[in-house]
Amino acid sequence: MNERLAYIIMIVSAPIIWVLTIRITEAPSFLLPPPNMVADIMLSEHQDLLFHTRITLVTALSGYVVANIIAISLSVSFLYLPWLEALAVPWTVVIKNVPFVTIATIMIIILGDTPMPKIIIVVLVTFFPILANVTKGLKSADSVMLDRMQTLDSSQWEIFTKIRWPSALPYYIAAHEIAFTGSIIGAVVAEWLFAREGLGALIVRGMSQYRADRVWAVTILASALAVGAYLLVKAVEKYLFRWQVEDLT
Amino acid sequence: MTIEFSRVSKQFGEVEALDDVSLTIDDGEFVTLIGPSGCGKTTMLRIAAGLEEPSAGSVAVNGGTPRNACREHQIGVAFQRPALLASRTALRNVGMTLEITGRDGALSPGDLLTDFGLGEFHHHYPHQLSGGMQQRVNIAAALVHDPAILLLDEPFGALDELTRESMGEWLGGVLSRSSKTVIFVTHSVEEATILSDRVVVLSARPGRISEVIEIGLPRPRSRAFRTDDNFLREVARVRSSLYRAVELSN
Repeated sequence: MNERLAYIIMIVSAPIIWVLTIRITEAPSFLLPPPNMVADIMLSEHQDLLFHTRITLVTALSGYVVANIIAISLSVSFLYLPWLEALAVPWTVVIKNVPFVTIATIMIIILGDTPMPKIIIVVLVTFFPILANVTKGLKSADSVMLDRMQTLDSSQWEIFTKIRWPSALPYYIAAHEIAFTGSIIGAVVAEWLFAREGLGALIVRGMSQYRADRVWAVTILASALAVGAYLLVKAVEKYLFRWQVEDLT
Repeated sequence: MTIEFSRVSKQFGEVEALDDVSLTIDDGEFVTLIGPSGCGKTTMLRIAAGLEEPSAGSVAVNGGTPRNACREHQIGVAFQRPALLASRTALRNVGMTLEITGRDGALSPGDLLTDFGLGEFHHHYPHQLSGGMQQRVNIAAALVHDPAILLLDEPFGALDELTRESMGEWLGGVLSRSSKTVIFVTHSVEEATILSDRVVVLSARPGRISEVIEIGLPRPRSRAFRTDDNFLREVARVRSSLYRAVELSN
């Protein structure tokens, strides 16, 4: 089946399933608000929602940029300094496996309600897939290609830009599929833990006021952002690797 | 340019890949290395390319080190697996060599590909080309900077028999128009015989030169030549030498 059609079917059927669930369970609207109620909130409070969306996006994107810079620098360092990679492995294993809500809590205790702990949480969530993939991708360069480059007496810079980086690019893009969506989810969770602004903070506020309609509105908005991020990466991937689908004509 | 192996030995850990190998390859000569697997023929080629250092002895390329010949862009290499980037077209893959070496004295990548029978495939990506075509692009990329020395490691090893024959014939034609010094590694006795001035037969464990055979056949050697009696006699000579080398290896 056509992928676009499948998306359309989902977008149309989700509200239908939603309404049917309300009809069948006879859930009151303060528990399970009907779609039109949520749509009303999204329209009437759109200024407020957009303000908080912007906060979340700024947190997510800043963290994401920082994660990319650190992860790529480390991957490149690992390539030329194998001892550094050996040294870093236990650190990455430990940091990656500490539940990140606990790190987040510690960060908030130390740094308070500033953008910094939230950005750090986004970095923690998105950093590892990029590091792992780019490190692997840089090493995936074809050995016969590297041999040829050596016989042509090419510089390390030429080898990196012409062979290693193009070899790593598919791995890097694949990391974005996980990490870019992850940055938005990470930002929302960070705000949910402790913040007065952002979509995560709106969820907490909606919950404490028993405003299920607001929580639903934020859920839809946050999901749309994350899905949008994913589709954006897919589109970039399709553009960068458009040559893969071209066939003999 | 000449290539001179003087008492070259090479160990990989416990394995003795080459043991005291001496061989001089003349300027413009086509020399094939043949032998059972593990005889060190690929190692010899990689040492000549400066990709491996001998454990003992030395290799001189035109009097200097192989690395120096690389620096002067006098070496072109092609291996069994084509060294092509999937994200570049045939033309840009060949052009990549020149991005490194510069264009001085180089051939035109487009003309070279057309000359190699790939005129309609300049803008095709490697995955859109057949194995034989990929190997032609690969050899074009090895030749485009017009090196004096060409090192070929089983370039046709992955191809089917018929493609292989026609590729061998094609390579013979391409090289007959140049004066390059060539080291060619193969498993095929026919290929070795039809292409070479000399065939060096190696025995394995440790890798040693078992015999050097001069191929006394006139050039050009076309496809019809493959059924010629003189050719078949030379093939038989190389083959029996190879069998002796295999026996030495066991």
